[in-house]
Amino acid sequence: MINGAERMRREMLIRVVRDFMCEPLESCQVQAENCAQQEQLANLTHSADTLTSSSAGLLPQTIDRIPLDIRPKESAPSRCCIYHDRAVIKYGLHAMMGFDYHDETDELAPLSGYLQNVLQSDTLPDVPLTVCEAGCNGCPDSRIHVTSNCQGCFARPCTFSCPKQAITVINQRATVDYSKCIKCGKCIQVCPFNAIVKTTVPCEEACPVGAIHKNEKGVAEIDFTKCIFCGKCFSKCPFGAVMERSHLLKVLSAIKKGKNVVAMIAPSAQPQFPGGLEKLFSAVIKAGFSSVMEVALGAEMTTQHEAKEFVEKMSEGQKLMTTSCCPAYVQLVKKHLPSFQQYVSTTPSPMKYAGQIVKEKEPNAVTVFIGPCIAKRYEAISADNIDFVLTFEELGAILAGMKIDVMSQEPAQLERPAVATARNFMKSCGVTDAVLNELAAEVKNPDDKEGFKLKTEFIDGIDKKTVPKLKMFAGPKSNVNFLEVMACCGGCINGPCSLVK
Amino acid sequence: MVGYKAKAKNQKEFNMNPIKIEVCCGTTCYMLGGAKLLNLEQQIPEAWKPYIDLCAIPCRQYCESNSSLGSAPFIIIDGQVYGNATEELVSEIVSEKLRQGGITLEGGAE
Repeated sequence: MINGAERMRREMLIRVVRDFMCEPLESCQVQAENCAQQEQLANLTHSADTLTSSSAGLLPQTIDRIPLDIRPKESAPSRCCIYHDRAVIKYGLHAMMGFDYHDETDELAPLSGYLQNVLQSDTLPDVPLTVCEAGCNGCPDSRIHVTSNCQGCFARPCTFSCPKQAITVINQRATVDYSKCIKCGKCIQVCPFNAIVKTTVPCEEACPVGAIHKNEKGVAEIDFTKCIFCGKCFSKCPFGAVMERSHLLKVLSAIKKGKNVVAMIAPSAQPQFPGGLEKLFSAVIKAGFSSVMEVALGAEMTTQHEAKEFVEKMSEGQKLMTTSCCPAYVQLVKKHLPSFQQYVSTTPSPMKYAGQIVKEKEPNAVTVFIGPCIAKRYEAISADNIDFVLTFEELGAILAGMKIDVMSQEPAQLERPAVATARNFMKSCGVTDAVLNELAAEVKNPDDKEGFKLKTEFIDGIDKKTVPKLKMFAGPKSNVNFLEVMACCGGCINGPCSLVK
Repeated sequence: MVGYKAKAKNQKEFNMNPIKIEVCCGTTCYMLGGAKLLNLEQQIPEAWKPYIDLCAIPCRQYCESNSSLGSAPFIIIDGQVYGNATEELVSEIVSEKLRQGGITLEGGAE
């Protein structure tokens, strides 16, 4: 089930797309029910700046109203009051346009002004995440807490299990000495009354590399010198305060201008939409993309090159090679374990190959990668062949906002469907399987792969223990020579921006 | 929903029409939580299945009318439209309808 924060974000995205893509005059005819309101807005459009209105639909007129529409006067607030909710939605729209929370200099400046700026500029956000201070709850610091469930029992397992002797029983109640407590949680496990709990800061808890912390004001802040863009804070924050700086408007604007926009859809799209890939492709074409391609075709090339590279490296005597298609893992090695860099495959990711295929055929194409990933947005900045990155959530919003029903589409005819192993890149172990398959096809005798014995292993989901694990794989005791790393547990299908987890 | 045991007091007494459940699978409903409702078939208890007629329908624009229907995802049970649909809501309505139809539930559902 989706949670409230996701729901609010998706509702916002759908409204943005709907208003951006509708033509002021047509919309009156299409939406008979909303006619009165739409007509009013259409009149406004004509009196307002006609240039913007034609390129951004009704959005310049309606964008400032979206927070009010989502949280109308009598509705029940999610936070302290509807005004707080509205403020968070407003900054959500900010981030959706690609701005950082701190880009706002004048709080009275309307969103429509920012919209105009973003449509006129060519720059893309340098990092894909921002923390909305207005949304951050400033959750209480993580600590061990003895609740009133404590009965002050005779056995007192908490005092005995504590490795630091931080718990003493005072007045029939366990008491924690915070100068000694290391938050190991052993006392929580042994308490017979479940009286001890650990309060956590969800974003700090989720971050595998300690890149998000509360600053002196008590609100979360991301240290981008450490951040690997895995998006775990984004999906774990229960207040929806970590926001994506999106490329959505840039893509919509390119579609509206009639540019040759090519959608490159990640293999993980298959379980995300009802009706299967072929119907989804028809729907994407209907939304105004000029063509669609499967990124799995790029994954085929990644497989071939990676298998070749693996054989080469092994024959050169290297002890280990890891995959390179997960951009969060690539960042992890770059920022937190540079000595491991030599083991990371230099083969480009499926996204980069897919971009290359498209640009070779049509150099003027605007390439848009669509996937479940936040780190891909960062990877795309340095990739020459990728212009924009959208998420499945945003693709869903485009289809919903343009009233395109995926289920009722005719299945598209694929020029050439990608092979099953390439489509399986979306799952953990999928890359390993594909490469092994390729190796088996290349090397006739599986027992003698040019003098080395194949031993594979995979890391399913990056967490706080991943860096020590990687060190272990590089150490002398490990005999693993092919390692697959996926930042999301289960693989890309469970990415932070997937629709169905 | 798992764990229900539906049992007709007397199968011959049961003469109501099957309960028709229509799940909207428009993109808006799907995005806002309807994805799970599409798997309803696997989640309704076996014993209910003879009394239920489940089907997926394309978007009927309930999400666009600003009426009192509530918001996506939508589900239609015997012609009545329900907004903000969840599996729990479906389970509640269906068990109520079954009770009215003379079918008792055992297994702590109510």
